[in-house]
Amino acid sequence: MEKILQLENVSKSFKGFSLKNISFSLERGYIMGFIGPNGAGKSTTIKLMMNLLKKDSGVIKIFGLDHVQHEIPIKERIGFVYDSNHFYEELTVQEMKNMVRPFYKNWAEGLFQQYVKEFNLPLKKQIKHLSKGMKMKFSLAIALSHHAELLIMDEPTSGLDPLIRHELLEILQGLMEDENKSVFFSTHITSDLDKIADYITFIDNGETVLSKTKDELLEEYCIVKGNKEQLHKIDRGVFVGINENHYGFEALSNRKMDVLRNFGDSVLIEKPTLEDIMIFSTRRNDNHVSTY
Amino acid sequence: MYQLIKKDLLMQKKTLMFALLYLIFFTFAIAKNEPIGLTIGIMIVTYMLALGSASLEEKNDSDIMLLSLPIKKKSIVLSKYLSVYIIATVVFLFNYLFYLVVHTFSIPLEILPITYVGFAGAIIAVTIFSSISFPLIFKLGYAKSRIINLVLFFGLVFLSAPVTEAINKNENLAVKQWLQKLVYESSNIEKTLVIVLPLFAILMISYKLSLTFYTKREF
Repeated sequence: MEKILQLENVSKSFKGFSLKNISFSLERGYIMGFIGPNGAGKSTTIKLMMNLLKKDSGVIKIFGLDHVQHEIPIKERIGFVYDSNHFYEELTVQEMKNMVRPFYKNWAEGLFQQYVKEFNLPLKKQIKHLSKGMKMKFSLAIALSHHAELLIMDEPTSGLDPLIRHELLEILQGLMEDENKSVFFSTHITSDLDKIADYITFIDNGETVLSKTKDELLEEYCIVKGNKEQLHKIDRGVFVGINENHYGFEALSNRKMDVLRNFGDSVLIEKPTLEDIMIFSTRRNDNHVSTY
Repeated sequence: MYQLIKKDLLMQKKTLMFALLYLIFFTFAIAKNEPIGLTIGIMIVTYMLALGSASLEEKNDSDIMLLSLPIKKKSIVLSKYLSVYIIATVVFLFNYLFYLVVHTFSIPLEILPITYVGFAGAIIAVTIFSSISFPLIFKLGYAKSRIINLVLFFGLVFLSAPVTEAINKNENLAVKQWLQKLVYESSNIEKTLVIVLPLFAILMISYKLSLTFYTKREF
């Protein structure tokens, strides 16, 4: 299948933070959730993809093309939504759209007007007077009005109320009916991705922890719950992270089959959420004592 | 390119009103300082608008948005330089309009005379200012380069009048003799070579520097 986005061993160093050998790829027609705690390097990775930061090493290909050599044709085919507004706040929605429009060869004015109606965007209002949700919707309307094949979203839901977040996720789901489009969606609110993501790439502290399909992930990982005595009998090597308290333990394993084979019904085995995977993996093997 | 220049002006709607007031003020307040008055008037308003757009761009962190659009960095840099000359010409035309109104209706007000020397001076001044300021802005951003820019700007503005006066008064000054010779005895080609070519060279070096800085800058 055609790889629409491909990163191979991408590295970038700053004072006090480095992104180390990030690798993942996304196929056409799918949504990739890019997760990780704050400061993990998600925005840095997106900025490297958009050539807003220069990579130290590695390869970034978008639509199979080098992202620096073919920067302009690539950006023609990308829609972007960032975590905060970068449009000119002094301009009205209409003025801003008119400024952006001529730069896209494939601009579809009818489509934009359709989104204006659907999102109730006030064309004559200055961007600074729009709510955070409206700013995101305006950004999304711009991103979706030039037949972009890849939508790059950096924490688009951060700071939004659950209703608008839900609305955005529905729009993205609707968008995926067109099998030609792909979405790269970074977030630390993993529940946003439980419903819509096909692939999950998880980074922490500048390193790729995993990059798999969501189904594979949920197939391989499990939450194990049991009492303290059971924990002593268990080989802790099967766990990615353990949370112990006075009464028992809760742990995440990435070897679900081994857990099932070794412990059977003696422990409680549950399906993890993406949040479980993120929290246990970032804690690693620090035994965390809960306070209940 | 046109869109980039247009947005620089559109996002400064409020500043444009202030600019018009400044313009009216300069037209009448420094009417006696001809032709340097016209030069200073055009330069201050042009500089105010050019730096104003850079300041708003930084406030909105808009480079991230601009550079995510399919726009060449070259177009962004070039549009900044071009906008300076467009603003300077519009400001000059406003000055000319005031002049025409005052003269046509014989309004008893002393107004800044419109001279080609004044306009040419303004073009030279904005070229020098933008040639210094833009590379700094493209390298450091507006906020970090502001102090250097302000010192340069006010330094040159406040020095320009006394320096011109000193040149006017002192007949034996070598610079004055050279200037007089250039103005009165040289052919147009010589004048062009001496003034326009070095200015153009400065502008080109400045543009190349700005483009290099902006291409290397990270956001």
